[in-house]
Amino acid sequence: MMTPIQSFQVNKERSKAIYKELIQGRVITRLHSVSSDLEENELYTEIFNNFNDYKMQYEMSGFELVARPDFYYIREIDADNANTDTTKKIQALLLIIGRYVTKAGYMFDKLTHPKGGLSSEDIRNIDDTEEYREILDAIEIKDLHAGIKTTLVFRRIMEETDTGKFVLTSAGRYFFDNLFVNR
Amino acid sequence: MRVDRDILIQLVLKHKNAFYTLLDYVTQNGGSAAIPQKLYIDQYRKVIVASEDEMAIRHLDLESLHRHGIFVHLDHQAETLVMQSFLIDMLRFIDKSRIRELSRSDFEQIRKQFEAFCKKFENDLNISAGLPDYEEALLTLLESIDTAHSKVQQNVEALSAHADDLGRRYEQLDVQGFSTIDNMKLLEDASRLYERFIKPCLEFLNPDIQMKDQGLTFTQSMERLASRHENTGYTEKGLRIRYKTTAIRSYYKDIAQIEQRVKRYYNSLAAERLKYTAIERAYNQLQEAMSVLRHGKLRNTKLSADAAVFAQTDYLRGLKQHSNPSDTRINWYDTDNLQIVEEWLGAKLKNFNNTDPEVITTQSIAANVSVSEERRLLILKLCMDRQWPKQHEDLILDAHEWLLAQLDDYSLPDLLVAYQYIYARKENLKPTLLHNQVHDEKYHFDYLVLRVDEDAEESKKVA
Repeated sequence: MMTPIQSFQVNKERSKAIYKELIQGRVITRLHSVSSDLEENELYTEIFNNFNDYKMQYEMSGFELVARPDFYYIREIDADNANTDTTKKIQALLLIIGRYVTKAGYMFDKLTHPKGGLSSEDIRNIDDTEEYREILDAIEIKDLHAGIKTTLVFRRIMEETDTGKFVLTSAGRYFFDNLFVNR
Repeated sequence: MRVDRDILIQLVLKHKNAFYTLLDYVTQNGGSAAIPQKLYIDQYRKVIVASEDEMAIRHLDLESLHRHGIFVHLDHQAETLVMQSFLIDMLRFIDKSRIRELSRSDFEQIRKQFEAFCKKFENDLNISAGLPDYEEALLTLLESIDTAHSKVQQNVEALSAHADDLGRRYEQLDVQGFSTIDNMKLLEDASRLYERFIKPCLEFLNPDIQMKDQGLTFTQSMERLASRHENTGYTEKGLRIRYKTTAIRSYYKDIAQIEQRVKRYYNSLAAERLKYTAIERAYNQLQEAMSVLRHGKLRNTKLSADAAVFAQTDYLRGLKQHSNPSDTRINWYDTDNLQIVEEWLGAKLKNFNNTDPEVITTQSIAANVSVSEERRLLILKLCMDRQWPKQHEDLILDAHEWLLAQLDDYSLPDLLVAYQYIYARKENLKPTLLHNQVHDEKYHFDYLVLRVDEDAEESKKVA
């Protein structure tokens, strides 16, 4: 006889909100900005506290709930799970942004500090640089500002500050942490 | 005309900025003594003549400074000059940031000097007060100790000033991106300061360090010189040597503190450098993937998600938008069965209602259907006299029903007059995108529904 799933701790409202986020290809990060302060994301906490329940729930729907340091996302179980066009764009954009910042002599913190962030001027500089423009064309991003919003901000890889600049979320930082560890 | 040297020195100090330029030239050219005369002539014009100080203008020109010994040598053929060494030392003493740091070779020179003293006092000299050779050697030794002390002290001041400058520039590194400080240049400066100047000084003053080639460290030489005197009955002289040595070695803790500060900046900047290197390496792989696209002049070709640069990490692998409207709907069964038919029927029946649809045989009322002027005035009067509803979801329908009740011979052209009246009011009307239709026996009138809600508008105004 199957043991009934003990999901009485799962919050249904948050579960719905989590589903809505993940099914759109967004990640759920541990912290998120609320009025320029970083606060615990209750959706992340919900998953964290009921991880086994959520993992099973998504498995039954054909998805793997992937846990990474400080963020979650889902991917299809049966699919090849090679890099998708989405991951290609995300990685290429992050590399271009990271390279621009460090090459210009800025501290890397510019991309992570709440008072820092990629400004409109930085974005224009990147867009006007031929070598970056060539890569952006090759990943089909015509307008970098729009590309950052739809590819990175929408998916919670970056977020927009109160001053209109873009900083990395924990999901975005994870990309670079991997690079730095594997140097 | 000659002037007293103390007056001259005062003038030099008053206009020291002109001489700092010469000092900087010496420092930047590895201590080169020969300074281009043109450099001073430019400074004389820009600083001294510009100051309108008559005394300075008269006595600080090239020839006067040479005559008074401030400039040791003027080479008119090579057009160079040489400054007095005391002037160089004095200018460096005044501006700590210009003090020349002691390099590894400077410390090595000092170490060898005292090693030579040690060997001389141990092997060549008879330690006996009154002997001319001994007294002369002792005097030279003590002067050399004082000189070394002065050099080490100035070195510590210079390193402290440079560490302060490094700290100031480090603090200016601005995450907001407004800083013009290049963190890579800062790292190079921190590295250079630490490796070339701080580390040699620490090694020189460290009492525990041993020479690899059996040579004597500074501390060991001084220790042996002191012991040599104490063992031959000259305890007081031995103690004097020990005190002077201790005074020099006391700067070790100051240098150690400077080392800690610089190391903090260095480590932070080095970590930044490693990040830069890691990103650069990944970016180069991205460029390699791009180069394949450029090969053979393949234009308008897109970067593949399978490129090696993306395969090296499993970052967000499989991430995509999963809710796709064009995705196949749930496929219940792969064979036809009754439940599918029932489900289909149920979905279709939901959209059916049980009322018979009204078959319309009227014609659309033309915009220019004529209404007599008399009739028009009648309708307008009725409209003006009416208390129109303050709230209604469909004001045209309301007007139609009201006119139908008011006029026995009502027809749809009358509604057009009322429609014009309503529209002319333009107050509190809310056009919608909903369509509706009214008709009489002859005509039908299709219109966009107009809502009215005066109370909501009043509430907004009050708010």
